[in-house]
Amino acid sequence: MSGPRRLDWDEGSPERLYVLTGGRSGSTAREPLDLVTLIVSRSAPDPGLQPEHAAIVRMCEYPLSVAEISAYLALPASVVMVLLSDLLSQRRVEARPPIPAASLPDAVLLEAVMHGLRKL
Amino acid sequence: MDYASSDPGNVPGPRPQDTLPETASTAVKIVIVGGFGVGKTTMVGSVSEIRPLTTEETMTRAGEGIDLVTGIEDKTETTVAMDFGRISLNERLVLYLFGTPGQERFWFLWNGLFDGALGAVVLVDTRRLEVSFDVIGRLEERGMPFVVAVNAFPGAPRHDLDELRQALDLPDWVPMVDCDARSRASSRDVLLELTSYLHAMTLADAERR
Amino acid sequence: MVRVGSPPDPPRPAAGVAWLLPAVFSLACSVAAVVMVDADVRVPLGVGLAVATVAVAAACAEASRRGRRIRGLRAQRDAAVAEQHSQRDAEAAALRRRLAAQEAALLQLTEEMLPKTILRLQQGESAREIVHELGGSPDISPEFAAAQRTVLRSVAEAVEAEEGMRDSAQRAFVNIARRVQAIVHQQATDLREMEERHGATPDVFGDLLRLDHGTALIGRLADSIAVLGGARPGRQWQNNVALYSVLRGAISRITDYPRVELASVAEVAVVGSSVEPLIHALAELLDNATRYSPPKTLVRVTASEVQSGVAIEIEDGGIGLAEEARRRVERLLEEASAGLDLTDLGESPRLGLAVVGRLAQQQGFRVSLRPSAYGGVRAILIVPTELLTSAPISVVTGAAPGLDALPAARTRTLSSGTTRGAASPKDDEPMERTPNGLPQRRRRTSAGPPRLASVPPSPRTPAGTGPATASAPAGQRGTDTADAPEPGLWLAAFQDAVSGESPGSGTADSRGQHPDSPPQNTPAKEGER
Repeated sequence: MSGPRRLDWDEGSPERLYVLTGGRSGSTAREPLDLVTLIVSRSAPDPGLQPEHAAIVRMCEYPLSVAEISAYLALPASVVMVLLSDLLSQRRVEARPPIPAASLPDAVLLEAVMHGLRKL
Repeated sequence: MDYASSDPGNVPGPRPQDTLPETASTAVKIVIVGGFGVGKTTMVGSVSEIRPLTTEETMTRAGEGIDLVTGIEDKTETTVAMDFGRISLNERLVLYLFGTPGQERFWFLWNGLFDGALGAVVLVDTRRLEVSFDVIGRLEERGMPFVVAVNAFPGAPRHDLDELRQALDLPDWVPMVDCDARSRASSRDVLLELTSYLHAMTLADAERR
Repeated sequence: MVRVGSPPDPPRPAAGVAWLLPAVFSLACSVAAVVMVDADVRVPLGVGLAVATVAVAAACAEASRRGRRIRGLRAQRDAAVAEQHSQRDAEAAALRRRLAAQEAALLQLTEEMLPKTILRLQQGESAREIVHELGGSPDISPEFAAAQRTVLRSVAEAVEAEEGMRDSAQRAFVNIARRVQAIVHQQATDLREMEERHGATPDVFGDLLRLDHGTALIGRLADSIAVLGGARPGRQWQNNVALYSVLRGAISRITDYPRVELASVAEVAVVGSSVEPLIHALAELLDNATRYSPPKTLVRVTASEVQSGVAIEIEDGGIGLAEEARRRVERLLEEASAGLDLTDLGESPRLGLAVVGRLAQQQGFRVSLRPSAYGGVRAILIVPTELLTSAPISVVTGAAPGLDALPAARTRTLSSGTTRGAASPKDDEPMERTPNGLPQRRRRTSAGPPRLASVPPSPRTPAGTGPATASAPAGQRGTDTADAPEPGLWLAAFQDAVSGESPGSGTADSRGQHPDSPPQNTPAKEGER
């Protein structure tokens, strides 16, 4: 939805997504990744990293959700999750999972949310 | 291929002011659904501390180098799947807001999105109430708690919330609020309405046990 | 005429007086006889001898005359014969000349005119024009020249027809290839869109990636046909593309792409017009490398700057080509760049290398194949400097599609126009309306409030709490929920995290109770959803 980005898309890219993921379509991380799983880098990017990996490591100096990474890289969430599972297995980043999906929102959690919202 | 040496100014990623504190450890999410143009993006934008982002881009198909001898239409189509914003609730807790289109053809997006979501806000436009029908039905089927926020568009006919509740065939317990998606305070109140509703429900549930 | 050409030439002056000798001798004898005899017989003897001598002289003279006559006649005859001979020689010489001229003309026809004709035909000249221009030599007879023209014309027409057929066959090939390309391109665009859309659903996404890959392979084949048909490969790129992206684009188009390892890549970009040919040529070389090396081995790709441009090296650890085979491959590349018949394409390595050769010729790439240190083949493609430009840094930092986008530039600019017409999916159904004209929804489920499935679906039941207070101002909520439950075990970590910020610790919240209350209910919540 933006200037330079749009122009690029008009042109398209010669690279297909499966090359970026090596044909993998989903995360192989032990913990499933959610769109709001927060990712934080554990180190600075190595020069030898695949550019997307390097970009993730660089942008996750501070915590960033999977959704945000996907948006900044302009790559579908699944691709980002594949890339992240690589980085997780190499211990280059760490994941901070969200509240487990199957659980009910807890009152304390909700109170914290309400409290945070009221401060806005 | 020393990418690290490249100009950091061009590196994709958040602006410095958009970074989360190092202590951020848990994220929760609320989904805002509604038809196109009901103000999802506006609402996300008005409360988000970062500029709204999107996980999917418009796909424009312009004419390419190939001479199209076939009759395939060179169409241009816009598809926006999901946009989202962020609110740091405290040093550790982050709330993500996902705005997603309500049409049936986007329901595939809901799977990952609603898993673990606290609840949903259904944003409606009184001029096109019907676009939210499917969304509400779908949420009911999923058992996903939601509130209905009526976005007050300038010039739109005003309707009583009771009247709207009737038209939407909503049970009494589903909260309904008027709002102005452009206003940060109003949008925040909608989120508070949802979380209060969830909180009350949780407590009631606990009481019964 | 047995003696032709060898008449003895008698010594004429001697012959002229020879006939006098008998007469002189006879005179001398007569004189001697007259001198020696008696005087009285001298007179009669003398007279008699004189008469005899005269007779001898006369006879001799006559004999001599006749001899001369004979010689004259003989000379006459000899001259005639000689003349006849020389005339015949001239005729023979003329015949030989004609023969030689015809021979030369024939030679010219086969060695010069026919090739020239075919060449000019291939360059698009018409047969008639060429035959008219290529007139015969003046030495040959009109009949022969006419025959020559006929031969030339019929050959030219045959070749022209053949060329025409070949041309139209090539055009047909290119045409079909273009149509396939258009469909493939459309499909690739659609797939990319679907990949974006289903990006959060790994199963669907994986299927889409496979389809995407298959589509890319079809696209390459169509590109190859187009290239061999003398056309450009598929699409054209307006912008320069980073070499890194070009290489990954090439990797995208081969069957065994996961085996390709991209090592170090020079930070340059390829000018738009050469992007597609380069991707295609590299894809064919990569395909060759992966196809003719053991299935589990890696194919390494590096690109480094050299003096004349950038050298892209594709090295497989495969069954190396024997020296002879390597030479064959290089010869094939040469042949391919010289021109290759579409009908001459059998096995796929030939097809691939023919394409590489053609593209190399078009673009000025230099391609060579060498034995690799790993026992496989090292293909080197040199992209000349004039096809390169400095890499746009943003592409290099990112290299992913669109990775160069700055976050700041990615804020929404969604125009309302793009969202029009996306309204209700049931537009064509007549809509039920409320008395006030609002559309009327009908609930499909009769379930109670979400997550309260165990509660009777009456809205009244949770009196004073939850749903009943739904319309109350948010700030007042929670005052009647004095017994805030203890978070479950699953939230222990979270609780730690938020404890410093928990509601009720002197905030605007009117709740009087700290949430850290004795545990009551939490375990029961499991499995409620």
